Amino acid sequence: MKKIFYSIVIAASLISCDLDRFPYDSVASDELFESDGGLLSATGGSYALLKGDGNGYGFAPQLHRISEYPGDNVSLSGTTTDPLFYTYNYHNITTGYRTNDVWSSGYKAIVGCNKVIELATEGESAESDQLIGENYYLRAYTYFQLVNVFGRPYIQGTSNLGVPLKLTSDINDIPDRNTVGEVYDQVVADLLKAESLMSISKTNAYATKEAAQALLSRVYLYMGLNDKAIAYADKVINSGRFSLVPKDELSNYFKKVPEENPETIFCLRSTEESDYTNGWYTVGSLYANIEGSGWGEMYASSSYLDLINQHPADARKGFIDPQYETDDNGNKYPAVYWINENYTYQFRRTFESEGQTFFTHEDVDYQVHQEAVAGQTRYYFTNSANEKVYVNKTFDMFKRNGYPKFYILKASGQEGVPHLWSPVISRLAEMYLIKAEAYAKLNNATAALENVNIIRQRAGIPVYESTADFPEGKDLLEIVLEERRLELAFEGHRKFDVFRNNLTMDRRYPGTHLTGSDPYFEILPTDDRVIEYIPESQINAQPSLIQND
Amino acid sequence: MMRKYLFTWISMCCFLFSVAQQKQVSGKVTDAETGVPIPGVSVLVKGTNKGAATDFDGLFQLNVEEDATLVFSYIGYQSKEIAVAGQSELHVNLAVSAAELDEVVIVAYGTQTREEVTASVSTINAEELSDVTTTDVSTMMQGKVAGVQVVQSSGQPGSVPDIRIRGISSIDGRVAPLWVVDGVIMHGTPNLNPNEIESLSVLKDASATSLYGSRGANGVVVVTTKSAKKGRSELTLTSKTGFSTFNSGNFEVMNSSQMFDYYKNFGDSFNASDNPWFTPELLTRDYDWLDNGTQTGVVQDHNLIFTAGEENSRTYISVGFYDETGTIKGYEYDKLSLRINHDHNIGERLTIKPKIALNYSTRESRQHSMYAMLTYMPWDNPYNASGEIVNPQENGVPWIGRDKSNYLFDLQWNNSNSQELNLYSNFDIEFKITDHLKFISTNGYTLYRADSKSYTDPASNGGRAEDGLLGQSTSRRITRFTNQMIKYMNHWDKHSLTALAAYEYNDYVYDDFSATGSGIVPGTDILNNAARPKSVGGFKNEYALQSFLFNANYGYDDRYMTQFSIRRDGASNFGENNQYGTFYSASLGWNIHNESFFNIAAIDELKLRVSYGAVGNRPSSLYPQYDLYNLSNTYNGIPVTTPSQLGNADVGWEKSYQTNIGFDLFLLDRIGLTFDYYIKDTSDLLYFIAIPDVTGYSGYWENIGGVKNNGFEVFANADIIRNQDFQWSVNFNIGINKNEITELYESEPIIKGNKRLNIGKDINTWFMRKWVGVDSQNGDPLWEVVDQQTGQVSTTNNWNNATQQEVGTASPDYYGGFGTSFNYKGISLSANFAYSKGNQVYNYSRELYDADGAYPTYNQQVLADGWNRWQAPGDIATHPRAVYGGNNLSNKTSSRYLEDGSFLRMRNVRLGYTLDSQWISNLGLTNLNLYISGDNLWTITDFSGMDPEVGVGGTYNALYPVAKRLTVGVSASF
Repeated sequence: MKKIFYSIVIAASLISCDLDRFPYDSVASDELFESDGGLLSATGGSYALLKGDGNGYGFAPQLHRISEYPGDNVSLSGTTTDPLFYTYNYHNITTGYRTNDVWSSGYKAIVGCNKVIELATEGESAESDQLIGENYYLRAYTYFQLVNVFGRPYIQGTSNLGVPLKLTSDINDIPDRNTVGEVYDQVVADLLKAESLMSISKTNAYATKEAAQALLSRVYLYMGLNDKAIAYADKVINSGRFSLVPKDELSNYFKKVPEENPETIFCLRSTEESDYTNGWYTVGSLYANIEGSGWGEMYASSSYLDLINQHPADARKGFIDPQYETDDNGNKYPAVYWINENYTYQFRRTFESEGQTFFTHEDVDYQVHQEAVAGQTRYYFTNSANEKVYVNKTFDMFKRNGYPKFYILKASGQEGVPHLWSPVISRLAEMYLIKAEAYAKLNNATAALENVNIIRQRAGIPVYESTADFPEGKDLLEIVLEERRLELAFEGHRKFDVFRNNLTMDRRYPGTHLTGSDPYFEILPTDDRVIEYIPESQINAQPSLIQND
Repeated sequence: MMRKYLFTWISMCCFLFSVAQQKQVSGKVTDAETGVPIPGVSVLVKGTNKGAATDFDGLFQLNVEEDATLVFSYIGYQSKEIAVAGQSELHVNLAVSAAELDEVVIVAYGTQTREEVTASVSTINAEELSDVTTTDVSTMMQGKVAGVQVVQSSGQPGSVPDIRIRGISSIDGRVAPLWVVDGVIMHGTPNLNPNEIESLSVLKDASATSLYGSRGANGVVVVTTKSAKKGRSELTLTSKTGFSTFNSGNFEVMNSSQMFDYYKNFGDSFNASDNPWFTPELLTRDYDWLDNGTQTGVVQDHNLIFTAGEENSRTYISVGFYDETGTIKGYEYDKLSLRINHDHNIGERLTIKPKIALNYSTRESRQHSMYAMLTYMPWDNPYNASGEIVNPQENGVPWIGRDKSNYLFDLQWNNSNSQELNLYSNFDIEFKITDHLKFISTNGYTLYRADSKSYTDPASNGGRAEDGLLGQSTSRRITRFTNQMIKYMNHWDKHSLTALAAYEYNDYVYDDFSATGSGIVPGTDILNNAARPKSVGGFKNEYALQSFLFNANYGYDDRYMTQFSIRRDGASNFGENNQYGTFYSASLGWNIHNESFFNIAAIDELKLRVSYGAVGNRPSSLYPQYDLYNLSNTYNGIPVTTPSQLGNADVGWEKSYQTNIGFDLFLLDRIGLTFDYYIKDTSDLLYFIAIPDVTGYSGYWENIGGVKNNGFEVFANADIIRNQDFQWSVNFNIGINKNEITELYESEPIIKGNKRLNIGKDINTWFMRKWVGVDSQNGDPLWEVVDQQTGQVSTTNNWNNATQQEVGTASPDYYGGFGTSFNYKGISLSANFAYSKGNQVYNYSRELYDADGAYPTYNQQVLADGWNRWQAPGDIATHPRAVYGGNNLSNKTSSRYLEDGSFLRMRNVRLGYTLDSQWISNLGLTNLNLYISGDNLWTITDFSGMDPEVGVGGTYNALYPVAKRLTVGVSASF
């Protein structure tokens, strides 16, 4: 019996088969980095992680939500199960998967950059230095955004907790949260290094020397180092590589093929073939329904609309697409709207009688009057309490839960695809606005206005010859920030712009942020919720991480 | 009996060439007690493989030598040997076997008699199995085997339940049992026609499963398909038709006036004047979305079975057709199946046993949305005044519901369908080398191929942007299995010995391909008609295992039995440092009733069993050992690589050390009792360790920690009344399992979603914020805060500040089933029940449907009995004040939505009638049976959702409830 057993074992081991199986969808790490092009494709991997995917996941799409929805440019028309709701209404939760995604994809990209930085040798060639520089840039960009999301604004103190600085690819290196100051110092150091290493002019789909300079300019502005901010903005402007998109084409800014856009300094390039599923779940899908694709649930806020409507000719109105109701002949219904004391939109269709405009409200006909204020026509009616109520004279609109659909088009329509979007990291207009803000803070009104006017001119609205032109009660910094808000709305700047200047976020306008228990009507820069919670799942995996208050 | 068979088999050759005087013998076999003829009794000429089987009237006919001895055997009866001694007519009475000791039990790589078994094995035969109407075998097992938890998680036609044998013993490895069909190890749960199954064994302890080595840790289900009996040809037709109704259990959504009242609860938080749509006019609308989307489903199951058995050639052929429409409209599943099992003797030494089974199932889906039926508002109507389906996605179409969509709109056109082809084939050979030595070769090849197609019309919301979409995908899985075995069997004096040694190889390859085109002509079915390619995808993976195994069984005088098994397994999903693992078991059995000193007359059987062994488990990941970069991402149109996995070359086998102690008892010729106590100690658990994302990775595979399951199982049955005209029997089983984590990485608790792994606690322990109740002053929700330093407990209305803690478990305290059956002459009445007690279900759906105003434009659940809403200060309420837009995150995950998932369900009740054999034989029939049967007609549970059976994970989320069903059927044999 034993003999038989052994002979079978021997026979079987002779016929025994090879058990090694390898995955088809992956490559072994050591093989990858031994190969030519390994570093290049790994760098591409970091870009891909930051770009996100066709379903709205990944770093850039989530960052957009976290930095734009808590601003005052947007208004949500319903409640939602999506955790974005709690970012929008400042009732943040510790378990939101979108915040976790920013953290997780951000650190994946950072470690990807660390790996390339570790393996590559500087000074071998311009190409390899460029590649190393790109990794420094991407790491700096990611840290800069992470520290803004999870750490309090730099100007509120550099000793506040920021995010962990992970600078190696060693998995046993698990740092705890560094201070905001330490993270900013690293960002600056990385960007300076990136600037010095990069020398090749790549398309705006890749980080370049100018991209590093543009981001440095913003970082210095956030740090309050205004001279340096101006100097770095000038480096970009003077490079001559970029020009503003002309006014007539401005509303097509995000529809263009990104590489053909002369104003974009750097964007995370999405392509229809690889990065687009069907448009649903993308960033643009929450802002608009285009060709049947998209939820179209978050609209331009009345607060933003009031601002931009001060100049009806403003070319930037092209980024907003109001959904007007029409009759069978395609004619719109003239209407007025105002916001009542409950922050609710009130739309009333108007009718003409003897050359005057009227509407009916609670069975009473009211006349719409007009008056000229500061060279602009304003409309109003006198209510039953004999108060003047200003109204917007427009057309009746389609609404969702009573909220008029002011679609936002800044994250949709690239190359004609409904919600294809390549998030722009830096563009030339921001350089002028940085300079304007920095000069304003240095009390150089002339230089500040010069830069503001470049933007206003391009938008097709009147320039400010001097501070005397300012509307009543506005100071220089307010004017500059107002212009920044108008120009960079819906591009993920607003929340940071308000709080880094220690300003209060005013949410007294219609939107479901005011529903539910304990709504926030305004958020002070000192409020705990100015920043996101550290994701609970990260603390679970790394209990030494300290949660934000 | 098995041994007798083997002995017969072995000694057969000796008589091979002897020629003697032939004589025809005929006779009748009846039940010794009732006198009822027994059909299907095997009548074998002792010392040969020549034989016959009795017909429906218990009659047989055979040519034998005059001095031959005939062996009569039948499952459930004591076999009997009778010498022909010149007689030409025999009348044989068979007695019901005591404790069914000689019943043949399918075990790993062979069979044993019940008396020989030293392991913990439960067997269900075809008749016991097939009471409920389903096309899935595992569904049929529910409540029938002690220690086996079968939980359905969907009532959709064609869905397969979860099975857990003796608790969960892995964290991230596999937890489902291994399936073996006709000796071939399957990938996953096989898709078989239940009517083809002869018997099913569940192997539970280590001594039963260790021959399956690295795949035995979660228990093994061994299926044997039917084969033809010698000497008998028969054609059987079975046919049944059933009607299923949607079973919403305790759950109810609000109607129009209930919703209106709910809005009134919002008080000041909802300003009706700012919401001009909110008027009493709403009360004139009341659309019942649930009623619109559900229906009475129809199920049909028809089978035609042909068996023919000759001396050297036996053939079984069955053809089946199953068709089921769901209780949710728009879904149809059907399955065509064919099986041919053939046994052929070539000479006296060689038998070949080819088997082939094919089934082809299709799913056609234009299924109504369960989510929509539950969330859509009763104030919205899918049709306008002229009866057309409206599309609220279009501007200007009035719609109140949150999603502003009418799922019926896209459902006018959009649909999907899939087809699945399964081929199971065996080519098995048995060759008798000597009287005691056999070579057995088992070779299986399975093919799974699935095709699916989804159609999105250009006119639908989903297809408008792309001018319609057509997606198609194909996947294919091939498994190959071969086992070459030498088996030794001998029986001398009082000794018996069986031993086997084998080499086994098994591999698997899967690949798929998918493509989507956009810009299609409405109604098109092929991608050639798409104007633009949209996406393509493809995937492939593989695994392979090879093994050497050895097993020996030794018995002495039918009193002492011992068994030893060892298996060495190698698998592709382990690092080179740990590619091979060794698994073993040993067991002892003692038939006390066969001892001469044992003379308690009331006890017919008393056997003690003890076993110990180690079995293994593989990770669910096929490539956990490698350090990888993923190749599937792109940037700017160029393929790029992203880090995807940290490798671990040391990753090795999970080992489960199992001890089983049990006894089998049979008393008074009527009462059977089987008891097993087990300890299943799994160590080196395969776990995907989550590491902080700061490292750039989410984790890696490691062997950490351990989990222990211990518990006991009882199976009891009793024939309370047993006489010629009337029989009444009952059976009962229970499994009690205690699960405990014994070791974790750095002894730190690990949080996984809403559960936490913690040493000393159940693996299914819920971990979430603990609900305290409603603040009676202001109606705010309250949760518990536990101070981490002092342990002091306080309450908060701030969900974020509440402390996550352990709040119960999804594992039941005990589960099982019971049943009873009555037979009176030809009439039979039987019922089977399944139960589960003490498991906590997280009712996730309530985060949406019981949200205190957080989703005011989703329909809400009607408050269940005993629930009430806070209205005014001082109210003691279960539900917080309703606030339009939500009350302090009251609907976020907390123990508020954790409910008792205990249930008792009547799985089946069946009334049957077997027609008088004299009468039907005039019709040319040998058997005719008619029945009416009901599935899931009755359930007791406190669970507020539709169905307490939510799957083993214990989370309920708008699932498709298991239907109630009434079936009528007929079975006829010719």
